[in-house]
Amino acid sequence: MRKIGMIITVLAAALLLSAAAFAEDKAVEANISIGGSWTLDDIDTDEEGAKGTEYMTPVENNAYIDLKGDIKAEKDGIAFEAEGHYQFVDEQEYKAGLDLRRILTLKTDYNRFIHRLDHDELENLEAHVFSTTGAGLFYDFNGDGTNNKNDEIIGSAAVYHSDYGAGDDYYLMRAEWKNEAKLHIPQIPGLTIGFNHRFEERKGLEQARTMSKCSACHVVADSKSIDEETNDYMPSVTLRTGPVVLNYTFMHREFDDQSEEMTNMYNALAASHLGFTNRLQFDDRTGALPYSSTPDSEKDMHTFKARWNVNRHNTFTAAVVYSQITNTSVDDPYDPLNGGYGDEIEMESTTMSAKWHSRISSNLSLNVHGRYQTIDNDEVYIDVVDRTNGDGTTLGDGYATSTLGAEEGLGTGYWDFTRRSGYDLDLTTLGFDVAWRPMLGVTIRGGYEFHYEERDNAEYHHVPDDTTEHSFKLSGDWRVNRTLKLGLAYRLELVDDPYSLEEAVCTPDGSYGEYGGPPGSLYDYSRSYDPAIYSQRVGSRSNQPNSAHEFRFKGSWMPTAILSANFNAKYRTAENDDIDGNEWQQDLFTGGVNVVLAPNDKVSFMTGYNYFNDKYEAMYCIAIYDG
Amino acid sequence: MEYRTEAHTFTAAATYKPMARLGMNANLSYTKGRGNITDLTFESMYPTGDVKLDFDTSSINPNQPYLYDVAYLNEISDYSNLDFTQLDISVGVNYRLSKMVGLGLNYFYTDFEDDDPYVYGEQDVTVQSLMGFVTFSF
Repeated sequence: MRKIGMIITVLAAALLLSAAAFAEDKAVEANISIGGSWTLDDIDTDEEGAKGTEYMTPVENNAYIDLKGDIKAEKDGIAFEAEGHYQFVDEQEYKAGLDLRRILTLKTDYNRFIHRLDHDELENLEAHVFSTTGAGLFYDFNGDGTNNKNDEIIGSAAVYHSDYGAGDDYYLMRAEWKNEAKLHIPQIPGLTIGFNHRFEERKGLEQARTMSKCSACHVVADSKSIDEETNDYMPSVTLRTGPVVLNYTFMHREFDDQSEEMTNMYNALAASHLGFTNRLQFDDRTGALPYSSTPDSEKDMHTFKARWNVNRHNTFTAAVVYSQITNTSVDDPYDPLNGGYGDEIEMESTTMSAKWHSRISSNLSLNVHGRYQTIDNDEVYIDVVDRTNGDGTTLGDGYATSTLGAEEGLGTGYWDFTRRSGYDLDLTTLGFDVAWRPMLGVTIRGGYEFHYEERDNAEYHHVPDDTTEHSFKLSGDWRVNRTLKLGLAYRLELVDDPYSLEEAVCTPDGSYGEYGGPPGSLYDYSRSYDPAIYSQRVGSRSNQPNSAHEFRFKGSWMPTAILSANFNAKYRTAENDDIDGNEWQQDLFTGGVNVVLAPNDKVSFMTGYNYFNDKYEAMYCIAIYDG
Repeated sequence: MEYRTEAHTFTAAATYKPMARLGMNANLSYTKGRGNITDLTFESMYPTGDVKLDFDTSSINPNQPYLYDVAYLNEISDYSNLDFTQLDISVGVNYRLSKMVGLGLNYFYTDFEDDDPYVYGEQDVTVQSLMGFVTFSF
């Protein structure tokens, strides 16, 4: 905040001094608006999250002041302009700029507003037939009126919910303040030194969720106070020398989360009988554990860009970007349940891109572009927590067997693993675009793009090793006459092995995972899950298409000077028929028309209509495992 | 399973300036949106189609009821319908008293009707507000 305070002070002083310099200048133009607003309908608390007032901050006040103003002034090569609008403490925007003979330019822009958020009442979880209580339903199968050994409790392995923040209204105040300073040194033409700063603040109350698991899925929601700050500091230098322009920008970002630390006491195991092996890594005996937290992070990014105007017809641009993002919240001593890892975790990314633009003739131009990015994340060792047995037998870390594998004879540490990131990627993009004007009023464009995505740790995440995409596009604009313009476009996407989750669902042949009953034990359901439930999941599932066709149409018509109309339509059909029979298809259509009539200087009319229709058909075949 | 969303949006606006000092404007926006899941039907895995009535006779415990049935999910579609309308109207008038001073008055009306409450509960709301202002130009 001290850095922000210094920036505020410097900018405010610069703007006030410049405003004072213009005070006696007649070239000053200004407007001030003073107003007030009164809300005629009361908004009760249940309605404040309503979609209709999602961004209407002032409605919760019966009356408020509305202040608006702007000022412009210029004298002796020094220009100053500013504007502002104040409605409410959380509904403000200001903008100002100062130009000192084009040697130093300063700009600042601030705005803040309230966004009302939805409150998930969790009642949609009641779509499941057993949802009202975690205890399940008593069904008197033998008619003796007694629940013997829980034999007649059904549905306990289901889902129920608790909203501890019921009735709370959720909202976030978002404020963004951007500052820019540019210095052109007269003695060194072509050299520009810049400094940008961006401050973002998010404060408010939102819904946080977590879930206990086993034997019921107990979904818990509570209200979380949000307090986040992001600061970006971006010094830059640009040099223009002859046909070459070079730019280097460094960015340092700090994300600081001072939000409420949420904790939850997780449910105790609902053991079906004495001696039921507790395989939970944490429950009520662990004490309250954190959830719904966002780690603090830092990001450093170096960007180098070059542009070479080879001649009047050819331009070449290239860029290299290197960035490093660090999770700074996990360097506490190793403690998997509380988020300590003993070290910071980093992600690195390097991107190289280039583009060549050539105006081959007055009617033909060509763009060729390429881009390569590699992303590398730290690996994280996960020590799976072995717990005290549910019936009091201690089988924790250091013992020959653990609670997680005791009955199977597995030793402590058997389930520990190294988590390799699913975002270790190599991305390659190559493509070209051509624009051709065969005759006056007609332009035809075509292009092709190849995209290849290689995943380093695909085998650990059950996703394809790589994905190859081919995109083709063709479009044309036709100026039929002085009143009518038409445009058509077509785009084809063909994807080989789109991103999908392998071994996610059953095959759609009618088979499914079925509880088979465990051998040798009356109540031990655990061994049946692997052969009967998990092993049935052999099919892939994806929400990405392996083919898509998109058609666009647009037009504008202006028959007279007082009447104009424009219309547009888009149809997209996409499908994935290469995911083990779990195919899906999407058909999307949007269309609209707008008409403007301005018969004279005193009257104008505008009307418009837009239509949206999205139909999605999918085959589902799910292995049920809810408990 | 089929999931379909559909929306119609109609907008209209008009301005009228009968004299140099007086200006009037009106805006209207109406949206009707719908969404629903259909054909989401899982066949029950068990003979009667009701897990509460069937016993897993293959189990060691013959009185053990079945615990899982894909038909449990058939109620999802009833919790997935969307049906709402939103109407926004604004009317404004401004009058310039002199080169330096002007007056304005705006009326805003918003009505959101949630005919099929979804995950976030019923979100009906109606708001009317009146705003007056005076402008100084120099």
